[in-house]
Amino acid sequence: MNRTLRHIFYVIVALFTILGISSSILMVVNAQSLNSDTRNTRALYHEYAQPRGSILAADGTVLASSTESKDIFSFQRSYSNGPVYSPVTGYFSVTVRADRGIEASRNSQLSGQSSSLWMAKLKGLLSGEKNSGAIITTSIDTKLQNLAYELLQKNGYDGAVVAMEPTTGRILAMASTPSYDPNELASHNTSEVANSWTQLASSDSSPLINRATSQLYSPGSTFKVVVAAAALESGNYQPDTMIPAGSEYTLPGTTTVLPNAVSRGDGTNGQISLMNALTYSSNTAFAQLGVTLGQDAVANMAKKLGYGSTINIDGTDSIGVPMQATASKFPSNLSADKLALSSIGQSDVRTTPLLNAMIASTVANNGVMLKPTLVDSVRASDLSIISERSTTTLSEAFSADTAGKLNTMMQSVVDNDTPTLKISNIKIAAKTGTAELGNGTNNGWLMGFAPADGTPKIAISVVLHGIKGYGIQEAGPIMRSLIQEYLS
Amino acid sequence: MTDTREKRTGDLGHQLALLALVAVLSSVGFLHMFESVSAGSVPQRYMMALGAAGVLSLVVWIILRQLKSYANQNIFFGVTMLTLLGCMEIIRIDYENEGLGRASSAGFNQLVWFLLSLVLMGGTLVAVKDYRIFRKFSYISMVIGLALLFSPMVPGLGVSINGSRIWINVLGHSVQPAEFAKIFMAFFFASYLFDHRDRLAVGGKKIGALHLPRLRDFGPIIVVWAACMGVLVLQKDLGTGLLFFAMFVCMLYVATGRVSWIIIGFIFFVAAAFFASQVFSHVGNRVEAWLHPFDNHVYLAVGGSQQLVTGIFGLAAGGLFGTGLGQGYPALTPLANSDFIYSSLGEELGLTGLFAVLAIYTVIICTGIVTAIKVKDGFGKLLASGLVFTMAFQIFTVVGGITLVIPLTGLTLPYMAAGGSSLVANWMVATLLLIISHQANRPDEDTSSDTFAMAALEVINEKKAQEEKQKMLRSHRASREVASQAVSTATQFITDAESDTESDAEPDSTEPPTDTREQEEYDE
Repeated sequence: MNRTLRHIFYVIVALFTILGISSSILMVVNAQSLNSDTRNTRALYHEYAQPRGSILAADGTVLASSTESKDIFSFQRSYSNGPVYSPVTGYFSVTVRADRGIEASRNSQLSGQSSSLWMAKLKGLLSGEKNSGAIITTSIDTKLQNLAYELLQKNGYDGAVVAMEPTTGRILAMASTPSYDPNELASHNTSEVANSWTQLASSDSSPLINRATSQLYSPGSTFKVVVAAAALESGNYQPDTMIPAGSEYTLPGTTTVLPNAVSRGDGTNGQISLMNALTYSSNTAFAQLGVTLGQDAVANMAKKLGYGSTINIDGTDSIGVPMQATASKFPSNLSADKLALSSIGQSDVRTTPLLNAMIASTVANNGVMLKPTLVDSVRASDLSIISERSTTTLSEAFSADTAGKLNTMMQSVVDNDTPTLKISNIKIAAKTGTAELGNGTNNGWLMGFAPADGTPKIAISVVLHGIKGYGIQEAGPIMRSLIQEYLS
Repeated sequence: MTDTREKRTGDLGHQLALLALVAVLSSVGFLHMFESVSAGSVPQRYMMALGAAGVLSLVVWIILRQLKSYANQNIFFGVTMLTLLGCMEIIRIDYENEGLGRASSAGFNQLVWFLLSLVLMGGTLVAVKDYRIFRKFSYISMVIGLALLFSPMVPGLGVSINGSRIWINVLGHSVQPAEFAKIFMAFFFASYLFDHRDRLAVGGKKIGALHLPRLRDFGPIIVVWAACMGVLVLQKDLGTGLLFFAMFVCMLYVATGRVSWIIIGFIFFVAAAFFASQVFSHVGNRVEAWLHPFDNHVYLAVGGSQQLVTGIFGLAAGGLFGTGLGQGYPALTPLANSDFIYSSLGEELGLTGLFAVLAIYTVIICTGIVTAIKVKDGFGKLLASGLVFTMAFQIFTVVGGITLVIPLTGLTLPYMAAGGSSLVANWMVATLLLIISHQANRPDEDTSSDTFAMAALEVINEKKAQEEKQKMLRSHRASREVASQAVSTATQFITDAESDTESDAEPDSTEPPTDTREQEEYDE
């Protein structure tokens, strides 16, 4: 019988070997794909089990934080003034986890999983304390952000405001309306979250979209700054160079007649100085200027000023889903009539509010375009600094000389055309824009910076979608209030 | 074998080391677990139960050492470690359930069952002097076994839990009688097969390489198969049916050495399983869940693969080293503390922990097989190997079910899963193995040289018998050879019977002639 017993033993060894192999396959070989299965809630619970790091404003105001909760998720994420800051914070939910904003772009640092937090992790392991996520301090100015949101929200605008520090690229405010409350999505009740999400995602007003970075608008007359920069850079033009204008301009090869919005843009005897063309936003002058400069010169300047490329605002692939602004568009292969229309920011030119703020900053910053940043510093839970922001140049779009001339021309806009923008003791440089949407409504724009006569402190871009009036009438007061708030 | 006596005294250090290892590992484990789930405070009832378990284990160990001094104690330490590890995880899952508003005291109950198991083991070790006593009750065992197996079907006694009618109500507690039926059926199978093994070994017609047994020998296998299918059909318990069948086929093979029995048994079971998967929706569902666990429609179906897949996600979350006790989410899986204790442990202790668990099982099983090889009497060999193989097979079906090797069967992991009946019954299995092991290792009271000579003679006889048996089967020679083979078989039986009797020197006077007569009668 001992022979058969040995056989039985071999069978048992074989069975156990199979078990060892099958266990190893599931637990090691396939673990990665199993852990990332959408039906696997464990990874989510693990993510929730550790206190997620806070997101702070520049002055230390808490924008997002995690507090201990008595359910399976262990920690509840909450957002103060949710709708005001949601374009900055994004949200963290049980259904889609970290999405949008800093939550997504700094996910692994907030969750404490990032390899850059190894010191903190080691300390936590030795001290037995729970591994907390990193604290992210943003460059957001709470007063400015609150005011921007309030001004947009007050009149029920569909629009966005971006404010930046021209000499560094720090984003001071980034508001978008209609907005959403990330707290609704941070609930631990899965079906509640799913309901809220469906509601937000299917809403006609698209509250989940951060208009400041992800929505493209016709730039209208604000694009004339780009064309003016191209003209000045060509060396053939000075602010006082007289260029062809007139009350009407028939687009080349068509019978379409382009008028001016105000008669002061017509010039005298069909001629207007470049300075006045910008000041009074002469359509006839800039359409002809664009055609004269040619597609290459305008497109080249647009490219140097950020058109055609997505702009990274925060984060890298290794720590989350980077926060990016959609690429603004300047079309290629234009016919002369389209080039004329594009030169006044109509036709198929599309711009994000963020890019216009960056262009205003570039004028303020001597022609050097800086990378926008949203995060000032990342600190471990013991407050030791892990990383700090640095200023990065995106491009040297035009010379300091050109920048100075554009500055003067944009000051002239405020001084001569839009005196309502003026603030005593503060020199402001700006450019308005009103892009017709064809249905009787407009995209109202305003971009500018202040102080224009000293070190610039703030550059702002405001867009209001689907308004009845001009950019200056509705966006103007918003920009003025923000500058006043920030500089006084 | 001659140096067993010296080994016995030398063993104390080894035993103490194992005792200390189990004590230290479980203490550290429990402290770590309580540290993690209840901030380090150990509730008094657990403290008392664990203290009692420690004292009782020590008492049982001393009984073992005094009364069954030759028993291989690896079995005792192994099952103790596994039981404590199981309790640890069950208590930990209780805490998680409590956090989810599903209060449960399965862990404390399991500790109480553990105490009862220890008491029963101690009592049995004292009461049973010789395991061969069970051979005398072979048919009574069968009746008890079948009665237990079918008792849940008795109206008023049986209880239906989670849709399965495999429990009976005893004094307000639900008991799973099949767990105990397993032991009684093992007694019956072992004694029946020991008595009839030669008749079963003789072949009938030959088809290809397969020797078909003679039709009249089919009787028992048909009966057992029918009983298992009865369990499967009436109680919808695929696992238990499979387990009994595996036990019987294993013992049949050990007894006769004929592969044909295994093949026939396998064909029968596959046929029955296929039939079951077609007829019973829950069996069909399990097969479907096994074949396509990650398909969304199978995952979301009622009775689909969600539980299985959740368990697998737990294993994956554990990875190589686990999340640590109290750090995972085992309670997400339904039946995390019983059917899915393997994935719960895997999640928190990782692959490393599971390999340790499988290693402890392997030690217990190896010790069982070595015991079966060492023990001289055939009943002991069959009983020990049957019990051990059943345990191994049960582990395979449970773990294989969770790790997608085979469909889920609804069986639970011996010694670790929550459930009093299973724990107590498996501790009785361990007790039996310890007793058999003691008798297998006990040196002959007579001169050791005689023992050695006898053992050598046995080996020679067995080899001779096998050679001749094979020769006979190949050539189908006439009864003259059969008779000579029967004589040598009888010679071997004499040696078997020598160890079979209380006084080792004198051969049993009745049995060998009976066997010889039967042999001749059937082969004429």
